[in-house]
Amino acid sequence: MAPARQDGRPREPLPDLIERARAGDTAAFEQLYREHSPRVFALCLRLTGGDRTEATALLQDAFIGAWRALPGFRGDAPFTTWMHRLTVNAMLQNARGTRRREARVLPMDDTTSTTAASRGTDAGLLMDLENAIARLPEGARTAFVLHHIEGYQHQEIAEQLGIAVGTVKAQVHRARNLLIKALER
Amino acid sequence: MTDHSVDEAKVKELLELTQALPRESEPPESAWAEIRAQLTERPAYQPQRVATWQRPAFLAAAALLLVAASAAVTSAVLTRDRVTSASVATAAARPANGEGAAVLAALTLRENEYLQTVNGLNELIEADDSGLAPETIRTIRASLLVIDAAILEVRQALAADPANAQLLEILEANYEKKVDLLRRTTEMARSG
Repeated sequence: MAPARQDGRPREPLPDLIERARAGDTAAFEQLYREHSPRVFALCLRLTGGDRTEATALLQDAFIGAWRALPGFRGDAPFTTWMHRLTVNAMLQNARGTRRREARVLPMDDTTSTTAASRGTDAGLLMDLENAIARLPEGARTAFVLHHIEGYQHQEIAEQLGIAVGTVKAQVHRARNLLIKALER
Repeated sequence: MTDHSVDEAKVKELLELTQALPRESEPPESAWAEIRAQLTERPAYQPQRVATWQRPAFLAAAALLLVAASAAVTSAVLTRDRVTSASVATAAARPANGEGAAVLAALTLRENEYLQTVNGLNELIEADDSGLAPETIRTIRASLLVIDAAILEVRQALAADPANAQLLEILEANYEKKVDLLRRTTEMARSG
């Protein structure tokens, strides 16, 4: 039996939804959006350093891109993985255009006040970590988020970002060191 | 405890904390409305393969890739085989059987179309940029060279046996492989 949705109706199988959306059914696509957008938005927030406005724009770019690219979706990878790839691609395209986020990212030395403020509880510690991730340099943040949060392999990240595997490993290593330093403060 | 093991413990602690981070976050409700507005502007299903070659985004990205990566090999093909209207006449004059000649003529026309597209792309390269990372371009360049080498090899075989339908199929498959690689790359560049 199909699991129920929040509105109580049975959840339509994912392949059926994809097929209907591929054929131009916007209602089916909305259902895909409703089910997958929280996960994608979490990724968007982390990739954009916690900027909700930019994350929302990225989410929209990713789903509009998904709508356009759905005819080419062959199901080789799970839909979630495909969606995440589109999101990262959308992020990279935006970054290439303006590099505006680099100017906004604070150096790690500036994280003390925000990390110290919420210490004391597990929730606070998680918030510290989230803040510290947001303040990582863009390359290190992207590599860390994709590898340690989204579970991508170094090789996959390298292919998607168009950089060497060694560079990805170095960025992840750098991110870990910066995060440890930030959390120790 | 050594410094190294202390570092490892810290990394382990960090990664455990990372695993506890929330994986979902509700987007603003207004986000869907803007997406929905965009969906009405174009149909979702666009299965035209040939049309893909002619899309502006494809042309722009393919310009960079084709010219930068395979100009040398393609040029060799062009120089050697002169795929022009003259070659259509030459092909028709070859002693191929009826079916082979028809296939060859169709392929030559399609090949001309393909090469005209490539020539058209030359004009775009100076002004455009695919936005692809250098490492990606290098990888694609290597793949294109392999495909171009295969195209060259099949064309040489076809010169000796122009009525060979299997060779024609292989040649066309190689072109399609090349187009498919470019299409995938373009999708990556466009959505990514």
